[in-house]
Amino acid sequence: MYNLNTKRAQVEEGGKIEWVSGSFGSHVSYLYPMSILRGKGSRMEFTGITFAGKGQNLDTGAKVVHAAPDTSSYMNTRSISKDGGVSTFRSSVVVTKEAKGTKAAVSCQSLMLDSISRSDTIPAMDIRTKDANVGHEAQIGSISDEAVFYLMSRGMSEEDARACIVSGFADNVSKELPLEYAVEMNNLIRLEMKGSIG
Amino acid sequence: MEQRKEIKINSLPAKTWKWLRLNETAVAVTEQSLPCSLSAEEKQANGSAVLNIQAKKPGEKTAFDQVETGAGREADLFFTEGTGAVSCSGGQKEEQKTVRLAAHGSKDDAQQAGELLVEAKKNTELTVIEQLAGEGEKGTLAFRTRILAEEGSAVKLIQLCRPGCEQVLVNDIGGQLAKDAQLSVVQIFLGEGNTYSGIRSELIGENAHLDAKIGYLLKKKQMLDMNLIANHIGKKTTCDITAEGTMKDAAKKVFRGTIDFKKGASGSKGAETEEVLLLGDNVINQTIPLILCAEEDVEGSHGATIGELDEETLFYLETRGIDREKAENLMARASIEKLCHEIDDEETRGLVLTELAKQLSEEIEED
Repeated sequence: MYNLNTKRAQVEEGGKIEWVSGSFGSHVSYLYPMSILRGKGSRMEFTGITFAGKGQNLDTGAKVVHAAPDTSSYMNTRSISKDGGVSTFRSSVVVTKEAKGTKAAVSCQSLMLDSISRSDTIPAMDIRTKDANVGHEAQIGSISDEAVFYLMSRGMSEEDARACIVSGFADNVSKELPLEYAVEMNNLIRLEMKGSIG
Repeated sequence: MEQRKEIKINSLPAKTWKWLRLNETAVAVTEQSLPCSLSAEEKQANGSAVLNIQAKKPGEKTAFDQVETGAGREADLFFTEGTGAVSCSGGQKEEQKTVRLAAHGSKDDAQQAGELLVEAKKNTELTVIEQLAGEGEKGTLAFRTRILAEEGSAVKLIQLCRPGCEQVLVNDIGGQLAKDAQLSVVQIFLGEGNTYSGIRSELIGENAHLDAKIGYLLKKKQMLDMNLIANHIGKKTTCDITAEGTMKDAAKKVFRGTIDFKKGASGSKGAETEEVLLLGDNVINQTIPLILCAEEDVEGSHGATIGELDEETLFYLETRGIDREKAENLMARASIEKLCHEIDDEETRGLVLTELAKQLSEEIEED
């Protein structure tokens, strides 16, 4: 299945748009909700998690345009790649000259579960006013052997330890999801992590 | 009238949305470059020697042709037949070998080019100090530095770029690093003209390391377009990229920074940080830091802070009797002065500080 998706929001004065996105299922995804903050004091928040498994190419992220004063945006994402899956985080933060007093923050973390998968981070920022505060942080890494060893020394199997670490990695995002989706997501991670050892 | 052709340089290794206009940059190039004014001197404990300049011959092939650079293959069009090249090599560690090079354009609206080829043999060390472009120059100056660093070698490249207000500087660097080789780049962008700068390093051998520290002060309608690429190919390779600078008036800056962990680069680590101080009402700051990863056992990170001087720092300085303008100049100066600690050569350090003081219209403080 191909998930080629366009979502756009225009946010007026004092308004807030909140995107919560979980990308797990499709074969190929291109999904980047866009928010245009055109009213004074408008806000945007994007929370996303992507789990790219075998045969999947999930290219996800968000776009935001700060076009009014005192606007703010926050993007927080987690990506997991496994079994040859490809996950790409792609974003853009545009701050126009009019958007004085803008605050924007982007945080993206990626976890690689094996060496046949791929994880890319492509965030762009275009700032056109001095009166803005924009921060960005990105991290990419794998499950630490020490953490797995610690959990195994407490009686967990290696498979459970790895699943527990992946669930913990996704926790910041999953707690933003509605309960039924969060339960589904945790089940999915457990299922995906089954048989991941050896 | 010479025909001008548009080429694309500083391309991102992984593209993003076209409407952001960050994927690459277009520059104009004419069919033939003239040799730039080039002088180079080699210094070591037992004396100094002037290095020869060799004109590029038709169809000439060298080992350096395989070295990819940050600006990309299309930038090869600047380095036509007849442009000058200087070659140098590393020395034994105790020799403390230094190559000092100056490349300048002309007062005419011409396209000029030059090149430095650095061959660091096994376990040798070399410091290269380059001064590119200068006040009052016009036209386009393209300068390329290509480095082949063999096992255990260490190359330190210090660049001071000062394009004239009507000049375009294309500063292109490429390096191939073998096992345990190190490349350390210190770049300072002052001057008044526009600069396109590319650095590409192929970390091929195990434990190869790239360290890049960049500082800039941009004013008026000045533009700085950067493309840094660190390709981690060998195991346990590391890179550390830092870019810090100040933008005033209507300056424009593009920073592309890519850490690419290729398959097989297990145990590699890469980090890049960027800090931009925005001081002008019409500044344009574009940043795109990429982390591309095809290997599990790696660690990559990126952090960027973009904005004006924070109120707490400003308040602290104001309580000490320093007004806003002085405080801003102080911070702008600090980001460049920090890099001066990386420059061992006193003469170059002095030159950087003098140029910086001139740019900030300040008196140099007597020590």
